[in-house]
Amino acid sequence: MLKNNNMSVVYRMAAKSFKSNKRRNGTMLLAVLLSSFMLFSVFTIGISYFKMLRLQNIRLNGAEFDAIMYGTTDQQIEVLRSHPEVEDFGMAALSGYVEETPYDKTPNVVLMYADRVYWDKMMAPARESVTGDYPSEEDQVMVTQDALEKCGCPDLKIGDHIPLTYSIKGEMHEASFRISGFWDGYGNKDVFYVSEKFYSQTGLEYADAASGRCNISFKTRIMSSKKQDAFIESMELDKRQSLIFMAGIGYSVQILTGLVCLTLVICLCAYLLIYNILYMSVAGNIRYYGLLQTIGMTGRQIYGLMRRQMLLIGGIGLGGGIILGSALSFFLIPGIIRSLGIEASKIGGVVVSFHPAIFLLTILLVGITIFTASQKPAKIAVMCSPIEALGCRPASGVKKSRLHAFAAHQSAANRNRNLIWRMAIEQIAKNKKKAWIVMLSLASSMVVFLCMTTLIHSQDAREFTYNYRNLDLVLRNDTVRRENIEEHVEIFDENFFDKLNTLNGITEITPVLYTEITVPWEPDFTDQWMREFYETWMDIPYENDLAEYQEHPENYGSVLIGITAADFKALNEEMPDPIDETDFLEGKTCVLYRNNLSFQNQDIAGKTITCAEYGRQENTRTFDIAGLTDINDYNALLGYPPIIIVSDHVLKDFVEDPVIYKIGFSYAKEYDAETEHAVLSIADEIPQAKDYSYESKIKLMENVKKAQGNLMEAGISIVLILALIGLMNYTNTFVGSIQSRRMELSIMESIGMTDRQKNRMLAIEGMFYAGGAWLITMTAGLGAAYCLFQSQNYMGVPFQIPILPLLAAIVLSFLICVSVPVLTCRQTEKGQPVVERIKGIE
Amino acid sequence: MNSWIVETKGLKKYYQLGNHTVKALDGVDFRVREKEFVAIIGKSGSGKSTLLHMAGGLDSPTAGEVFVDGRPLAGMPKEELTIFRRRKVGFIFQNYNLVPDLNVYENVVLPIELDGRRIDQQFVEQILCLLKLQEKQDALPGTLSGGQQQRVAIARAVASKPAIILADEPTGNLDTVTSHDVLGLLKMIARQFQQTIVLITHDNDIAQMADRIVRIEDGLIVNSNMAGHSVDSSAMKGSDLHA
Repeated sequence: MLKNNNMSVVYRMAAKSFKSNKRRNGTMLLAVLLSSFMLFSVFTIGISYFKMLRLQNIRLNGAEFDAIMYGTTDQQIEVLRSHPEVEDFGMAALSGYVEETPYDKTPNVVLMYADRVYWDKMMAPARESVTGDYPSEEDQVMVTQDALEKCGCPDLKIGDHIPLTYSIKGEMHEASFRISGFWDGYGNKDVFYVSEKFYSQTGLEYADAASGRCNISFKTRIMSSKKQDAFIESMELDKRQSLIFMAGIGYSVQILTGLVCLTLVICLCAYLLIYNILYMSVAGNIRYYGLLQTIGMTGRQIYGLMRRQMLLIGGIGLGGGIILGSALSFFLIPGIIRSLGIEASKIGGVVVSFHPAIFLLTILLVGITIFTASQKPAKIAVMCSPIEALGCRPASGVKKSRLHAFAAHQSAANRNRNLIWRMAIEQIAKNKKKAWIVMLSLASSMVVFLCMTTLIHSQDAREFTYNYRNLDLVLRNDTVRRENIEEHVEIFDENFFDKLNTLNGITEITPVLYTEITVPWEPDFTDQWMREFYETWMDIPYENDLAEYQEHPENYGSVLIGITAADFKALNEEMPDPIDETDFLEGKTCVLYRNNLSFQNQDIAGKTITCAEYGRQENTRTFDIAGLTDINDYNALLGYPPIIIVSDHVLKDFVEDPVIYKIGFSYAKEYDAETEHAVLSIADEIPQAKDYSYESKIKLMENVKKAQGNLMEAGISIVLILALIGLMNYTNTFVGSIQSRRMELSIMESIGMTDRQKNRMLAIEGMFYAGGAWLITMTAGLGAAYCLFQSQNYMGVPFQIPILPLLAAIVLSFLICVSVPVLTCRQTEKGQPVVERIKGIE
Repeated sequence: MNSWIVETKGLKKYYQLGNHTVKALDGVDFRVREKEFVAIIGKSGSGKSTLLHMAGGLDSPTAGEVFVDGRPLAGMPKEELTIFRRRKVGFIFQNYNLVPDLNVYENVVLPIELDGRRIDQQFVEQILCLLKLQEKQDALPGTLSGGQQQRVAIARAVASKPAIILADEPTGNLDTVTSHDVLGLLKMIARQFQQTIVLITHDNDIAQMADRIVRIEDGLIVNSNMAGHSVDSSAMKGSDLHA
C-alpha cells in the first residue's frame, strides 16, 4: 500500500495551534526559554566560577602545578620524564637563608633557585610583573619589593648591590649580590631567586628533601585518590621525601562531582518546569485532542502534531534562552557585581569564561528535557478516547487522601472555623503528584541556593584560620633564629607589657617561653629517638655521631618550651589522647613534638626524658612523657633531640631568664584594626624593634581576599540568578495551576466565596508549598550542601550553615510563595465578572 | 402591599463588539414577588441569562438599578456583594458548576461554611432526602449522572436558605424525562420551603411548570403572563409587567 502523505495538514495545524493558542504556547515558550537561559547561564558562570577557583589556588601557591615533591633523585626525575600522566615538572630549590644584611639583622628571606620550567611556565600565571632578567650569574638575584623591605633596603634598584650574610646547611657565608630584576605577584614574596650557577656551588642537591622541590603538573585535571596513591607509589619515596597533591587536582574528583550535582539539580529544575507546564497545558487541552480524534486524527498524527509544536516552541525558546544567557554572561554579570558595590577596576574586571561546548550541552539537555517531559502528556492526549476527551474536565479521581478524609471528618464547628485551611490542604492533597513537583521544583532552587551560599560562606576570607588558636596577632622574637645562641635575647621587656596592659581591646596575651637545653644520652628513650631521627632526616648513619652525642650532648642542643594554661588547653584538645592537665601544669609531665618521626603513643608509654639547662649541665629536670604532638606552633628551633613542651611556670622555675619566643594576642573584637595598630605602635617602641616580626590575621585575611579575586562576586551572581530562576519557576507553576483551577475558583466565587477568603486560601497553599520545599531543602538539601561543601573544603573550614542568608531566603521565599498565587489569580481574573469567567471556561 | 424579592428598574447591559454595540438588555423593569416561581423564556441571545446574572449580582449593569430583598446592589463593594449573594441568592447553573474535588455533602454545605454559619444538619438531611441524594453524599460530582449533579446543584442552592433561587437553564444538559424529574423536584422543594425561584429556559413545556412566565426578546421583556395562558409577543418596553 502506498503511503499517503498526510503530514502537511499536521504541519499546518501545528503552526495554526502555535498562533492561536498564544497564552498556552507563550507559557511553554517561557518555560523552555527560562530553562535554556538557566542552563546556559549556569554552565557559563559555573565554568567561570571554577576557573576563578583554580586561579585562586594558583595565586595562593604562587605557581600553577598539581603536586609537589620534596626531594627528588635523578632516578625519580627520569621516571617523571617518561611518566605518561605527567605533563611537565619544574624544580624549585631552597638555596639558603638570608641571615643578615647591613640594614637588618633578622630579614627572614630565603634564597631559592627556580629552573626554566618552574620560572617561565609554572610561576608565570601567578606573576603580575617582571622587570629585568632571571639571574644567570652566581652573584645575581631576582628580588621582590617585599623581600627588599624585609632586608631593610627597600630603595635598591636593578643593578644595585646588596651585601648578604646567608647560611647554607648551617654554614655562614657572606657575599655581595647584584639585583638582576624585580618581580611581583602572588605566593611567597620573601624570596631572592638565585642563578643555577649559585645553586650548583652550594653543594645542595635536588635529592635533598630540605632543598629540592619538584613541582609536577599532570595532563589530566581529574585524578582519583587511587590514581594519586599509585603515582606516589611509582615514585618510590624514601623516608625523608614526601609528595603532596595540591587542592585543585587533589580534590578534582570531588570538584567534578560537585559540578555534576549542580548541573543535575538544574536539569531536574528545568525538567520539572517543562513537564509541569506541558502536563498542565495538555491536561487542559484534552478536549481539543479529543476533538481532533473525533474528526479522524490518528494517535500517530497527534504525536506528530505535538512533536512539531514542541520543536517550534523548543527552537524559539532555546534560541531566546541562549541569547538571553549570553547577554547575561557578558553584560549583566559585571552589572550585578557593580550593583553589589564591587569596583570592577579594583578586581581587574569580571572574567566570564565561555566555551562553544556550552551551546551544544544546553541544546542537548533542553532537547532531552523537552522530549522526556512531553512524552507523558502526549501519551495522555493519545490514550484518551475521543468521547472521554470531549467530556473531560480537570477533576481528580474518586480516591481521597488521608489528609482529605481527615479534613472531611472534622466536627461541624471545626469545619466552619477551618474551612479555608481545609480547602487549601485539600487542594494540595488532591493532586499529590503536582504538589510534589511544585515543591521539588521550588526545593531544587533552594537547595542550589543553600549549596552556593554555604560554599561562598566557606570561601569567605574571614572564615579561614590564620594563626594558631586563631589568634588575632602573633609577635615573634626573631633573635631566636640567629645561629649564635648568645644573640638570643629577650626583646619584649616589662615596659612593653605595662604599655599593653593599658589597651582595652585585648582579651588575651599569651606568651610562649623558651630556653635552650641539652638532652643527655640514655639508652631507654633518647637513643631510640636519635636513631629514628637520623634515619628520617639525616644523610649519615646515627652510629657516626653516637659517641659524640654521648660525650658532648651540648653539641646537640634542643629547646624547652613553656606554654600558658590556655595554650595547653588548645594543644591538649588537638591531641588524639588528651593528657592530664594537673600533671602537666604541675610539671610532672611534658609533651614532645613528634617532628615527623614514626613514634606512636605506645612507644613513649611510661618513659621519661631528662633535660639540662644549656651551659649549666648540672641543672637538670626529668619529666614523664605524657604524649606526642604534631602541632608545630610552639617550636622555636629544631634540634636533633626532642623539643620538650612544658608549662610556662615550670620553665620559669627551671631557668632564671627564659626568653619570650612569641606572644599571641586575642582582641575583644575580631579583625580590630585599631587595637592592632595600637599593639604594633607599642611594639615599635621597644629598643630592638627591628628584631620582631608579626603575623596579623587582618593582613593574612587581606592577602587571601586579594588572592580570591572576584571568586566571591561570581558566586553571589550565581546565587542571585538562581534565586530569580526559582522565583520564575514557581510563578510559572502557579500560573498554570491557577489557570487549571479557574473554573473551580469562579464557581466558588459564584456561590459566595469572597476575595478575602479566596486570597487566604491561596496564601495558605503558597505557605504549604514553601514549607514543604523548605522541609526538602533542610533535609535532603542540607545533605547535598554538606557533601558539596566537603568536596570543595580543601582548606579544612568547619561546616557552618550561613544563618543570615538562610533566614533571609526563608522569609523571602515565604513572602513570594504567599503572594504569587494571590497575584496570579488576580491577574488571571483581569477584573472580569464572575459569570464571564465561568462562561469563558465553559 | 407587594413585597418584591427582586426588582430591576431600567436595567441596561451593553457590550462593545468592535464598532458594534450589543444591547443584551435595553431598559428592563422586572419584579418578582416572594414565594413566586417565575420562568423567563426567550431565544438564545435574547438576554434572559444576562437578566438573571444582573438580578443575582454576578454581573454589573451598564445602567439601571437592581434591588434584591429590598437592598440596591449598585455601589455595593465587591466583598460585600459576594457576602450578600451567598446569603440571599442561590444559583443553579446549566453546567451544574459543582466543585469537582468536593463530595456531594461538601458541595451542598459549601456556601454555609463559607459564610461561617452553623450547618442545619436536619435541614440539609431533609433536602438530600427530598432530592434522593442520601446514598450519594460521599460521591464526587464526576461519578454522578447529569440529573444527579443538577439535583446536587439544587440542594446547594436551597441549603443556605436564600431569599431567591436563580436557575439558569437547569435542564439544558438533561434529557426530557430527567428534565421533568429535576423540575418536579425543584418545584416541590420551592413549595415545601416556600422558596422564591426565577428559572430561565427556552423550553415552553418546562416554563409551564412555573407560576408566571416572562418572555424576553432582544433585551426587552415582551410579555408576562400567568402560566397556562398564551404568551403575547407585543412589545411592552418599560412597563410594569407584574400582573
